[in-house]
Amino acid sequence: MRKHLAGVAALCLFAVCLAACGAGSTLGALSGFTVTQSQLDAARSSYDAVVLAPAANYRALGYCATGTSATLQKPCADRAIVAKFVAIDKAVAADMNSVQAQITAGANTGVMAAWSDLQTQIAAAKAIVAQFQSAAG
Amino acid sequence: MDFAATLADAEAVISLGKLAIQVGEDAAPFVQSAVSILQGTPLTDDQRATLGMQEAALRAKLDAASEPNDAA
Repeated sequence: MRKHLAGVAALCLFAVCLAACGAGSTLGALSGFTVTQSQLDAARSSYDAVVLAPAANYRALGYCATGTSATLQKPCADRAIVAKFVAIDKAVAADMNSVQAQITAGANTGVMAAWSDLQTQIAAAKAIVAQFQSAAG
Repeated sequence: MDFAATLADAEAVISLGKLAIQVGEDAAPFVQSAVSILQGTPLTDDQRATLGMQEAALRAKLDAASEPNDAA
């Protein structure tokens, strides 16, 4: 139980972190936009902890047999949900690589659009997790 | 049909899924790095490279074509 509560606390912490990153991007847009390596690292770590790791663990349950659902005896992963995670993760990875490439090159010209895209994709990925969790009530 | 039993069973199955999607030791290094950054300590290049490898492993696990325990 303590471990579970710690997990919930960590999720809350990352929600705050991601919200802060979003606020930072808005302020940045108003006054010469730059993205630091630490901003990207924080966004990446948060995403990996809150979305990618849980999604990978869900996939590790193994797919449900075609035409069947998870049961107590045989918990399994829904193909449609896994497909959503895979698709959104590819988009997030592409945006992260784009932002990283611009930071590495010291080119901040196009970083605002890439950072904005990344924030949007991460929000979409979090929404999938939230949808799953709210269904679990 | 015993609706109460069916409902209880469905709730238990959903809880299993919820557990699978929330819990994971795999998340620990990412939690640690994020907390470190929030506390003002940036990642070193080595730390970033290590996290990148751990991230790639998770991505491969998520996108696995099939696993031994996958049902047909």
